[in-house]
Amino acid sequence: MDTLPIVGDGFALRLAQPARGRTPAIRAALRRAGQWALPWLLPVALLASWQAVVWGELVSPQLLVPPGQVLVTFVELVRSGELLEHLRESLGRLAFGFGCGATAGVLLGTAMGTSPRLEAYAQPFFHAARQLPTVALIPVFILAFGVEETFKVLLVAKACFFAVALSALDGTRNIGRKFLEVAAIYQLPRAVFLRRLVLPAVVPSVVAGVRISLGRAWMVLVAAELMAADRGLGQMMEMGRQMFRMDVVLVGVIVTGTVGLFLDRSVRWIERRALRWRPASW
Amino acid sequence: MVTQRTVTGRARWERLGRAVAVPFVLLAVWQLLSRDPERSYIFVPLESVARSFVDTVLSGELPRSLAASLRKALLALVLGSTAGLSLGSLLASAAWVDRAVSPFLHAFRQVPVLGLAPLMGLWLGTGELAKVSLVFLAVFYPVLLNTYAGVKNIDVRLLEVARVHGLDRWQTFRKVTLPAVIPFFLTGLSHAIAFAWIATVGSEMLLTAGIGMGSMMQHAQVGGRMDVVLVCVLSIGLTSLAIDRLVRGLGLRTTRWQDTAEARP
Repeated sequence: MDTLPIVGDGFALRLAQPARGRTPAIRAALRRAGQWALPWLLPVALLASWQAVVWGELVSPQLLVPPGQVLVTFVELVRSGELLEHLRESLGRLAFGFGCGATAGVLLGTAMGTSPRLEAYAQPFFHAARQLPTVALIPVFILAFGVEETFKVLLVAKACFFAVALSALDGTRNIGRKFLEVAAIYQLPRAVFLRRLVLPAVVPSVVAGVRISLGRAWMVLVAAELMAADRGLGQMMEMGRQMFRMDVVLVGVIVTGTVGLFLDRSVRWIERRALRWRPASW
Repeated sequence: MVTQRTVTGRARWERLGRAVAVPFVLLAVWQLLSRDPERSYIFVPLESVARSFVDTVLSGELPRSLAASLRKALLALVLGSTAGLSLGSLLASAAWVDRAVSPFLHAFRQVPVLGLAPLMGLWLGTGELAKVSLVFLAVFYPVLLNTYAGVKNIDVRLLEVARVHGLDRWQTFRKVTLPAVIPFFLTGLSHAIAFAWIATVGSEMLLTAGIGMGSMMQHAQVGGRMDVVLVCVLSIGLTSLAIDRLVRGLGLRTTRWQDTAEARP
């Protein structure tokens, strides 16, 4: 008996079965069509059952709006400029907070990695403080800075700061011992040391840290906007929830996910393009 | 021998001294700022934070909230990691299921978990069910992705040996796949544990019905009680620290910051 391989594509074979007896070309084409259509089955099935539930009036329309309504609302929100306004507001906060937090993170991480004294003093507290979940700081920041912009920007900055600082610190750890010894023997000036040794070691690791921290910062920002904001994607969703506009909430969820995906993919793209020169190991 | 011990003893004290220097200075500055009546609304005097801590512990509010949050996190952790492990192994070992389900799962994963809170609130109410569902998602994805990577990373030669020896599907899974996947699963689980705690607190803050650390903190914030908020923040932070130490102690974590799961809550 032929044992089954653990990775098989039984479904593709079954799809191709009606074609048995026909020419191999048609069979192959059918199999390809099956392969192509497969990823669409689940979304289409979900959409169809969603629509069926709506038509059958199985649940209240407030809890499940028709799929078409979400699209209509999306177009309306884009037309009125409302969605773009919210999006611009959120992305502006993200960019500003990220800029501050990541810069501070790179500076502190690199400084801790290159100065043993700073490391001895700052690192224990740094490692304890970074365990604190950023979302838990939202109430503190609201009380301290009010519900205006400062609180959200600082929150994003905090969310980015620790991950970036940690990745920069790890980056400095990757400088080979031999490099450090040669630098010491040649008494490399500090500026050259930083530019030629520290920078190339820190950048790849920081880019990876940036990717992680951007995703987290985006989530924290949306959460903060859900709690307290007058504009922004999170606020749009929260208003939608309070007014039982599920279509608005769903548009918000989809846009939030798309932005998250876009952020992740763009940093990945930069990672691939900018770091091609990276040697296999440091 | 004796001198050496005293030297290492002194080194340890010096290390400890340096470690507490920064927090000590920060606390001193905080306490100084709290003397200013205009600032004491934000920079609450440390003694009143301590008093609030004792009060909330004695009244049972803090232990009750902490226990409720931990219970929620644990429940979601068990459910989410079981689901992640099963679906991850299934997707990695059945190509057509993978092709049919994975694109949708990956698209859905892009939505930050806490961003789903309004939707969950609409559908499932603001009670426990909605919160556990959110934490479930935060746990589910890292475990799923790591399990998947683990199954895909199995040495093909091992599978060939299994095939040559005529092992059936279940035997192959038990003898070859499972042992190879466990390290990956544990890495995913270590991320999931951290995410579970963050997502629990976050979802409790967004859906404030019921008890939990997030709800307690949110109520304190609305009431303008910075001292209680700080007690909550410290408790949440210390819990995170304890969870992190526990995960490390159990040897679950392989890398410190690298997110092999490429997942986030």
